[in-house]
Amino acid sequence: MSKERIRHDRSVKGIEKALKTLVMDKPELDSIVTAFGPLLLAKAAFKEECPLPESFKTESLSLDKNRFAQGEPVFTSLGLMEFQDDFKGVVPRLLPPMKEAFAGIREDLEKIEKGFADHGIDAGECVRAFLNDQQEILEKQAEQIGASFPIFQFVLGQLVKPFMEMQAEVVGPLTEGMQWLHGYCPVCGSYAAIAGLAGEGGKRWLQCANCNHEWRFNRHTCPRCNDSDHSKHEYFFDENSPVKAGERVDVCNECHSYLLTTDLRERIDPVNMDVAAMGMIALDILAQEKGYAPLVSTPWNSVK
Amino acid sequence: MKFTRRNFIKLAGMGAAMVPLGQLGINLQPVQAFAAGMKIDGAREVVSICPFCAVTCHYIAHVKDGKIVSTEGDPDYPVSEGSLCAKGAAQLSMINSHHRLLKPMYRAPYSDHWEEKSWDWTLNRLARKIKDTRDSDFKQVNAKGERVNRVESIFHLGCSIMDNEECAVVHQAARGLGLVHFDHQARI
Repeated sequence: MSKERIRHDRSVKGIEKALKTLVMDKPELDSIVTAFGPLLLAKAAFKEECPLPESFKTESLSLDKNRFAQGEPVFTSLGLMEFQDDFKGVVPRLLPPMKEAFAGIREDLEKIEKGFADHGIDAGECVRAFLNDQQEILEKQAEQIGASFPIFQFVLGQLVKPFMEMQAEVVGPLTEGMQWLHGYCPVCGSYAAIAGLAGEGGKRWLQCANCNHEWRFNRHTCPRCNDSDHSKHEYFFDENSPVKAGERVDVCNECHSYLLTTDLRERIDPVNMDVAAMGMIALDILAQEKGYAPLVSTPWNSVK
Repeated sequence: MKFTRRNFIKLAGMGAAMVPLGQLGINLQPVQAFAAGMKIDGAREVVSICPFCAVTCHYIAHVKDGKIVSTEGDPDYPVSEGSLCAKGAAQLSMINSHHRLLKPMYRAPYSDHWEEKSWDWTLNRLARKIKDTRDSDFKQVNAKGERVNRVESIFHLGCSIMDNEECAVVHQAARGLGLVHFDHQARI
């Protein structure tokens, strides 16, 4: 039932509107929105302009239900579509807004951009090494172009994300109707960046930080440690906020992790969950000051 | 591009490749100042069970400093999936109502006021009354001289929260006393 799920707006127009509203409502977030907004828009524009080939979408994909039932995400059994060639297309689209926004690492970004342009980095080898976590190869490539290794990894994560999202949109429906009780993403295995409460009673949907797939998860269980003892869970919110507990941070005192949660039941318009998460950075700061760690790092929650 | 089972864990760790905002050159001061000035409130979500009927819908009680500040249906309860009936939706007002009895109250015969009693006193009193009534009114035979072994002066009414198994146990207890008049609120 559509009313029971989050209604997303992941279009360029939708993101533009959400960013504008965010800055109006929370002017203190101007520097965050100015930095990450153009990157979100560039990713969305890339996805709109360079969609996956139809052949991939119509290819008969068969999910190994036994492996899935044992907790193995879809990408593990189905693999990822080869996207090395398209990867070259994403570099000129995402690196310029990153250079504009991230003055602190601009020099490294320029080296990385040049590395891809001059074929100093083999895109295919690079993507493969990144996805298989072959650190030595990546370190060698970063060294080759004279860029910082952690920044090289960060950039690759951002460049790969649109492909993850597009492929998750195709394989995600394979998981419909199948039980998934884990706190990590059924498609890619990553943790959620934000949760949304939607539908009657506020069903909790977790949105993957990596591929943007969303899945239902028990509201009273910690996605990280699976603890469901309510005495160890609590939530905080800003009492001065016009939405009160509509934007809150749920914390687990068993594993000391936290998850941002937005209550969408009163919301009329569709939501962009990335922008929503970005808009709750003050709660990220609060939770981290209280000693909790995010389920997963996102570009805008690495506040320390 | 196939992954092994181990690789998916690594893939999931992709999010770890992040750079602190300060290093990216982003000015965090305004949002840090805002965060420092926030008036923080909070609560716990505790799942409880609606006492009104045998469907036993779960509801979420938002508890702050030991007090329930709001209630809503539990979306993870498979029967009602977060929906509540009018009675269940009014849970909070029932909990906080000044009419709600928190301790047993007793009004003695011919008295004009209620007095607070302990549970021990109340249960003993009930048991005594039931036993006395049962002993005095127990009929071994009916008017025709047929053996009946029953009590006709006590009526037992089960509350609607009782499930099938609890009703079966209560049924046996009532039968054990010789009661023939008993029913369950869900039926009436």
